[in-house]
Amino acid sequence: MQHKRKKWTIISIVIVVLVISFTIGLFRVFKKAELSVSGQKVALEISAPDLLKAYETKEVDANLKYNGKIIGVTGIVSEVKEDQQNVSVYLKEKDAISGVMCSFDKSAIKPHDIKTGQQIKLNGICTGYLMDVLLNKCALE
Amino acid sequence: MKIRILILLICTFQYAAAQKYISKTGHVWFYSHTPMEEIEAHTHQAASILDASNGDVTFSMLIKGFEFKRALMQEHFNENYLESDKIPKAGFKGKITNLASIDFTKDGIYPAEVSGDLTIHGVTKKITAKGTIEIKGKVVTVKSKFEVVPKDYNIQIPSLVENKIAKEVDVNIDTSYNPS
Repeated sequence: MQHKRKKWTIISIVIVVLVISFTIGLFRVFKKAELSVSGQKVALEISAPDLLKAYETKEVDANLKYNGKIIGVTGIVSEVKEDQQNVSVYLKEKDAISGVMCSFDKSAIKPHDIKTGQQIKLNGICTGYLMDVLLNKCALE
Repeated sequence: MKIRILILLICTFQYAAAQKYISKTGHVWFYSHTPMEEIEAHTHQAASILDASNGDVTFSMLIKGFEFKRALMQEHFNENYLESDKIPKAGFKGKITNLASIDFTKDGIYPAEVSGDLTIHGVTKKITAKGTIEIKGKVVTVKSKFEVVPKDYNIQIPSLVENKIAKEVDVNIDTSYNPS
């Protein structure tokens, strides 16, 4: 009798574990990607010119330090560009050739609130360096 | 006479200066459709230069810049399929093959064909793509759609998810350029 009860207890535990694992798995598979990093923890903070300098000086080291991380960046707005789904805010010092290009989902920003020449602070995921340093899924602080 | 030459020189210089167009916010997206799954990812940060004087076109983009609807898809795309830590960039270098039929000084929508080298996952293949070039004032907009076969670029899809990813993936480009 006791042996039978023990057997059922083990079976119940196995079923509960399987159901929990399956639920976690489903959640992971169907979890929607965040549209912005709003509310998420920032790994590092840096100014736009310093971030650019880090990539221009040694891209490999900068990739290791910043790529894939949420970073807080302060800089001067040089240009705001809008398309159907996206708003790009370009942080660039006057007379500089390159800067930090920050991509926002349209739901995460009101482009008319940002003016050229204004200093802003934003958070975003650093994806690397092309002509500029690129940040994705940005959110204003 | 000297003044005329000077005016001509200034005009020539301005024309030459306006030959190169640049975009840092190019929209590139791909779409894979199978009965089991629809996958779509976008980047709005492709960098591109178009030289109207000789038809040279270059595109460069970061693999990590592609955004998916589902977080796990993006993770698999970067870590397993495109190995973006190891090979972070993709790009295209080619030429407009019908440059003579496009008047960059006159507003309009012109059919265009581009031919060149497409590099994805460190593998370079020759491609030809058709599209349009729209001239509106100083802004040039390039739109194109072509197919890419992941297998051609040594992108290994595990057999478990093979049915969820199309054999041919549609790549779309919509990029607006300004004179550099």
